[in-house]
Amino acid sequence: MFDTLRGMAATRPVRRELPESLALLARRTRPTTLAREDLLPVLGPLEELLGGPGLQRGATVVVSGTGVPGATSLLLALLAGPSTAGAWCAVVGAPDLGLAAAGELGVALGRLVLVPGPGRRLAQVAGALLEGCDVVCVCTPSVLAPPEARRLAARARERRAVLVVATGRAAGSAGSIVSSAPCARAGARPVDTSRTGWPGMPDVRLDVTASRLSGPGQGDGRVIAHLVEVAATRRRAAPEELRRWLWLPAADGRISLAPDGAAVPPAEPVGEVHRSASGAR
Amino acid sequence: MSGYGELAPRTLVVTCPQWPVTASAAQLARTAAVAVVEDERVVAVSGHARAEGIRPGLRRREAQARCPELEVIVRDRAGEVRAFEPVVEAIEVFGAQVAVRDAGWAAFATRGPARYFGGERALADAVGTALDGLTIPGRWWRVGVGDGAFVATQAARRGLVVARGAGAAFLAPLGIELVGRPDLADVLSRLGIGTLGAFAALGEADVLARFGTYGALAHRLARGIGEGPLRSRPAREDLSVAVELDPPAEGVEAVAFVVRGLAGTLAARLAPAGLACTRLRVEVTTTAGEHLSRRWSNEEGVDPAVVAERLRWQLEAWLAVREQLVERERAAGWEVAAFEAGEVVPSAGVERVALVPEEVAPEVGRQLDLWSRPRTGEERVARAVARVQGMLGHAAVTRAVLAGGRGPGERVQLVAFGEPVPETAAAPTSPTGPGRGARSRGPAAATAPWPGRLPPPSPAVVAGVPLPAELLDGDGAHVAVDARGAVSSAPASLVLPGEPALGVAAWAGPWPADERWWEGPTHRRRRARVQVVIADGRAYLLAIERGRWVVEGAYD
Repeated sequence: MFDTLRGMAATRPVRRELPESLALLARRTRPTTLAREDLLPVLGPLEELLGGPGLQRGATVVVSGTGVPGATSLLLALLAGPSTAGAWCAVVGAPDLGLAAAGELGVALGRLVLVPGPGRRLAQVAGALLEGCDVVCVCTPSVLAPPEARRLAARARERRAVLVVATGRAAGSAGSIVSSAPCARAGARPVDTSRTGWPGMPDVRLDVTASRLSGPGQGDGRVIAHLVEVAATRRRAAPEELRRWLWLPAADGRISLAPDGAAVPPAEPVGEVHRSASGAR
Repeated sequence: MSGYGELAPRTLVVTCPQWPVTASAAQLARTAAVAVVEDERVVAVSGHARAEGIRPGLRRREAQARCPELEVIVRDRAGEVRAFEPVVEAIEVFGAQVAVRDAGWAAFATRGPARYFGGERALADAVGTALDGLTIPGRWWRVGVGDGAFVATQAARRGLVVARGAGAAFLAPLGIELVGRPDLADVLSRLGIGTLGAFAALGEADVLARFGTYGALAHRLARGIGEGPLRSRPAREDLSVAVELDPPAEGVEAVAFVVRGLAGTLAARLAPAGLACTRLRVEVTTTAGEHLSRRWSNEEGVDPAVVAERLRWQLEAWLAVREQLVERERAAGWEVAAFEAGEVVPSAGVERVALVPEEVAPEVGRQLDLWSRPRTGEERVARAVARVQGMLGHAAVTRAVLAGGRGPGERVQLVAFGEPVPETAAAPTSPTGPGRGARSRGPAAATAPWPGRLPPPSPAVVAGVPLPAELLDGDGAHVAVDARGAVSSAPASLVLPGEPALGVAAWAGPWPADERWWEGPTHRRRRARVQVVIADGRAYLLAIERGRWVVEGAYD
């Protein structure tokens, strides 16, 4: 029913997919030296949005969702690939991150370092973690002054780590439950969020532009799947956005690419699982 | 080996054996067995611990097994440098260019000072007296003089002045392990070379052929020649790198950040010239005109990245001194307006940092892979985390462990990074059994069945403190959940603090959870959860307990 994802193909005992999974394995185990091949693996469905088979080390990725839910799930999905591949990930400044959801979306919690409350030392903490971790997520970046933000991006580039910046509602920053109002530090100049939410141009910007939660009816059903539309803008690519619909997660608990979301009548897959879910209750 | 021309300059070394112990637990070490550990390995031991058979290099568990009452202290490198700083300042009175290799070890050339004090013996006594005057309890200093730092260090351990050219004879009966390279010492002792004298007797060319420059340098040390003015020379051209900070940096972290970049620049400048820096001076200037500088030396070349880290500790030491001064001023009734409590801020911002290589030597290209391994990912992470824990406290960095529970927040347990994951005895196969259930949370409980738990997906945002809310039906009346787990009426609007009422587009539930009823009525928790989708697409997980609705999480 859905597009099978390449990352998951390896786990399925389907014979005709074997060559494909072998090619994937060969690609991942090949000793890579080129900078553009110095990648951290990501989940298959995210590859197209990131413009390659992985997260490029040294890059800065902005994940945002202004007024639309789904950015936190997208952030967790982004961490799932690197953490399961053994890379260390850190999340700074997200006291409300749903860690049960993180586990369900595939994040290896054993490789996740959490600093929920860095307070005013957000930049210093993130900078220190960039020394050791492969992926560092900075939530509540509104407390960062633009020079601090630029320095963090520079350090990520230098340390060959990936800096992920979650702005807007993403990543369960304090107060994000109710409103999307950023909690700015008193006296600090807020980051210019007019265009990118981050000073300068990030290497990749992932923006959640639409979201559909399926499952609940009028007192029946339950939340079973979350379909979000992600718009990706890449610095080194054509200026136009790439828009894809993602299941975060689908009804089977996996993350997968949805065929063009606008064309999929949301009731079709939802209704099917709907019945089985209410039957199980 | 002919004449004195080849010998290293006369050097005075001040050292404190087992400095990590002395720095962090001098008082305790007098009466108890103390060991300082780093990365689960013992790095320094007190006299009592040594008597119990504890040696540096032992694993922590093994040490504790040998001596159960052993006091184990985790190494605090910044604290060691901080404690050493007054000592360096006391020594700087005697020698112009005090070099610090590590906390607990400092050296300077004696040529000028010895003449002034009327001999090396007199100089050593004067330094010893000055250090005794520091009145740091429980710290005893060893002072020694010899040809080069290696001979002087060994002399200091015995409180000797080794005459010019007598280094080889002095070192000859000493054990090969003093050469300071455990791997090399291990190989040599298995070859039957147990003393420095036996090693020195080998032909220089043979050692070079078999062990490379790494072994040849050790051979030089064993022969009492010292690290050698042969290799290093004063930097002729100006290789220094500096950076002006505008605005001035306040706080250790900001300066350390700059120094790290600066160290990289220096490395990039030295590498094309084929040079390694054997002595490096670090200069820090504040806007108030204060000028702080310190030298770091290492015969094998100073790794700028290591220096950056050392400098961080050094800055902490300086700033700690400053902090004490401010405290003293404040106690004397002075107003210190710019100083915020609890934060390390220098009296003025740091406006300039410079790294000046004072001595350089041809880079001999040490083969790192043969003798030492590059740091693994886990070690890098542990170091980074330790730094953050130093800034925010031990418990501020956590890891998540899936645990048993029904609510989205209960299903995860946060463990301070570096602490063992709590293990539970058994999974609660019957969570409703008396005396079990909610208490036996842990990894094993995570996979056990939890009746009343919502199936995935879980909310991606979970409120640390549940947010009060109100769920109303079409008539504006409070929606209640009865004892049988049914809603009183269909919810129509959700009221969150600080927001207008939101229309409910869809909802599901309720899922009742009855917990801890077996522990008596005071512990009993009866809750029911409802999923609510708002018209604008947001979705929340609500829970009602004792008639009050709270937001537990959001599907974001």
